[in-house]
Amino acid sequence: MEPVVITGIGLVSCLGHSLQTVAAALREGRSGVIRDPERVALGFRSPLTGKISGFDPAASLSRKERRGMGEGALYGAVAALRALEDASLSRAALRRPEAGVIVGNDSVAEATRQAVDETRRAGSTRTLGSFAVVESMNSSPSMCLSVLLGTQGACWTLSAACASGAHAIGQAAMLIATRQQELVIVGGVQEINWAGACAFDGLGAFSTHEGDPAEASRPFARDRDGLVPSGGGAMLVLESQRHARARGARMRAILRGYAFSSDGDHLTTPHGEGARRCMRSALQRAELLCSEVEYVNAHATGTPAGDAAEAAALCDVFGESRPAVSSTKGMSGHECWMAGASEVAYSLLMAESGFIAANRNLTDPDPACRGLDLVTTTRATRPRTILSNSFGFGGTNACLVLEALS
Amino acid sequence: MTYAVDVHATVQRLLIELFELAPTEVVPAARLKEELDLDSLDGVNLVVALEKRFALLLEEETMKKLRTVGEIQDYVAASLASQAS
Repeated sequence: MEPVVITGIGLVSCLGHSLQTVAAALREGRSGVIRDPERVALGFRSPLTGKISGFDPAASLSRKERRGMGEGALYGAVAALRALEDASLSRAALRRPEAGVIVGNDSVAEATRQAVDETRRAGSTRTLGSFAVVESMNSSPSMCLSVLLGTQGACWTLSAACASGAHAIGQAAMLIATRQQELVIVGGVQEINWAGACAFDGLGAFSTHEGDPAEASRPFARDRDGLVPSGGGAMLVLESQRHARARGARMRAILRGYAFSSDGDHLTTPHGEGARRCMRSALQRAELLCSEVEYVNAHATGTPAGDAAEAAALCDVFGESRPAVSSTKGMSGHECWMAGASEVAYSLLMAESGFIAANRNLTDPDPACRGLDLVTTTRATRPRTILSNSFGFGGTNACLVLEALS
Repeated sequence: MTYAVDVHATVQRLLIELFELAPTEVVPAARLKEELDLDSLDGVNLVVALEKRFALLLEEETMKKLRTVGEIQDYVAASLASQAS
C-alpha cells in the first residue's frame, strides 16, 4: 500500500481564515459562537451558532467560478484554494486523471429553500435561472470544485452525517493507498444558515444556554445541554508520499490509519460499541499501540448522551494508557459535515505549534468521563500521534490516525 | 423618448450588477460573448432578471439571437412598448 501524506491545509472557519489565526484561537481558547437574532425571530429553540466573519469569496473566485456555488460549495472552494497555496500546488498540476476531489457534505438546505420559495412565489419555475439546480444538489461542493480546479479523477460528495468529512478523508486515502489516485483535494463543508439548522433545532439537540454564547458549547462538562451548530469549510491536500517526495513538497503528516464502522442500532443515539470497534480498528490499521497515541481529538459535541458514550468507549479502548483528550467543539461549535476534516486540520495545527488545545468551558467534568485525561488548560506539548474521532447520526463512525511530521 | 432612455439605462445597470461588469464596458456596441464574456448560462439568468425587472415576458428564441448590449436594450424597449399598446 502506498503511504498517504497531508501536504496542504485550507480553512474557512469561525475561528479564523489563516492557519496562524486558527492556531492562535485554539491555543487561547477563543470561541467563534454568537447568538443569531434571525433565529430568535424565527422561533428557534436555540439562537446559538458559529459565525464566520470576513468571508469574501469574490476576493478569491471570479463571477464565473462562483456560479452554481451555494454557501457550502463557496466555503469548500475558497478553503481548497487556500490548501493548494499551502501545499505549493498550482491548479494546472491537477488537470489530470490521477487527481480528484472528494467533499463531505450532507445538506444544501438554503439553496433548496430558495428554489422552493421562488417557485411558490412566481407560480412557475421560469424564474429559477440556470444555477438553482447545481446549487441545490448535495454534490454541488464536489462538482463545483472539480470544475474549478480541472481535476479529472474522483469527483463526488460523500454524505455520512457528522462523520462526512472524516469518511471523505478516509476514502480519499484508500484511493491513494491503492494507487487509483495520486492526489485528492478532500475535506468537508457545512452551511451555517438557519435553513440548514432548523430541523436539527426542532430535534432539541442544540444548547439553549442563555448566558455568554462563548460558554454554550461545553463538551464533557457535567452541565452540558446540547451542541452548538457551526460550519464553514476545511480542505486538505492528500497525496501519495511518493508523489509528495517527487515534487519536493512539505509533508505535514502521514495518515496512518482510517477505519469505519456503524452501530446498526439507533437513528440519533450513539450505542458506543460501534465507536469502540472503529477506534480499535483504526489503531490496528495504523499499527499503533494505545500507549503510543498522544492526543485524541474527540468527537464530543456537548450532548449529554453522545459525550458520555464516547467517554465510555475511550476508557474501554485506552484503559490505563490515558492519552490527552479534548474536543475543539468547545471553541468552534459543532461543524457537522465539515467537522471530521476541520478537526484533522486543528489537530495538525496544534502539533505544528506545540500545544494541545483545552476543552473550553470544562471546569466541572461529567463524572461519566472519569478515567479520561481531559485537557482543561492549554497544554504545552507537541502531539505526534493523534486519533481524530467522528461519529454521526445513523450510527456512522469514522476514526483517523495521524502521525504529525515536524 | 425619456422612457426609452430610462429603459436603456436600466438594462445597462442590470447588466453591470448581474455580471459584475465595469460600467465603461457596458456600451451599446459591446458584444455579449466576445467582449463581456457572457455565455448561454448567463443568458438564461439575463432573461430571468430582465423579466423580473420590467415585469414582462421575453421570447427566449429572440433573446438567443441578440449579440450586443444595444440589441438587448432595443428589444426590451420594443417589448415594453408592444405590451403597453
